[in-house]
Amino acid sequence: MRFNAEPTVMPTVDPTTDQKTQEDVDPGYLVICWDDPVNLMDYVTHVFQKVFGWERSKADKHMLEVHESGKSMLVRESMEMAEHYVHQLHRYNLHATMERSE
Amino acid sequence: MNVTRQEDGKFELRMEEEEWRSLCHLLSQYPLTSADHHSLNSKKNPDPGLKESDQWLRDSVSKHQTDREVQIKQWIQSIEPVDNDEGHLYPVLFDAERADWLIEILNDLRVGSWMSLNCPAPETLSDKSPDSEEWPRIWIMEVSGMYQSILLQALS
Repeated sequence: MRFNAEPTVMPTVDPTTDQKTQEDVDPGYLVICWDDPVNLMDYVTHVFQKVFGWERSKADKHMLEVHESGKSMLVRESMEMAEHYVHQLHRYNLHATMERSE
Repeated sequence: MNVTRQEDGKFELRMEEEEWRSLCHLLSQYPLTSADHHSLNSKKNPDPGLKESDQWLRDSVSKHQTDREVQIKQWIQSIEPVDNDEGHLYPVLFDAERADWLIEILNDLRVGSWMSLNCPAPETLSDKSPDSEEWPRIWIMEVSGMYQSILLQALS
């Protein structure tokens, strides 16, 4: 019987698997929230505060922009972070999309 | 029904038995929105590169709704009535996190019932003569909005 302190097969690290692409880290995506007639205004402000950690005044400003202009550009982020924020907003049932900034 | 703020910062929503039953009935309808309608892609300028992300979003929302359904059942079972001279009272204690949880669930019910009514402008609802199928949806939409307003007001 052999007692080996070291494993006979060592794990290898593929240098390509853990690297983020340039697209992942570039802040080239806009997160946009769209108006709808059903979500309460206070609710939209509340969600912006929760998702982005904004002060009430900033959240209110964006909520009013959504209400009056039909949409508001909330943040410009990397693809990964933009997806994260859009997922959060959808969990709260807000209509949010992301698109590449020009 | 009234909301009071306690010394430890928590809120108490004290409900009569009928109010509590009505809230339980409301929450038992969750979820009313379908995960399929969620999309992170713009309709006007769809990005083909985001097609896979759309499916990921729908799976994520669907999983979130399943988790919430379980949590709702557990939460309802955790609320114990207290007796007073007039009968049972249901003291619902919640902190900011619990309020956020409930507000989000109520919003699903509000938005889902609104969608099932073909997304009417809310101001036109009072002009409507709802049929027997529409009445329960309008009730869910309005009562969910009322509870949302109470909780949002308590938080602010």
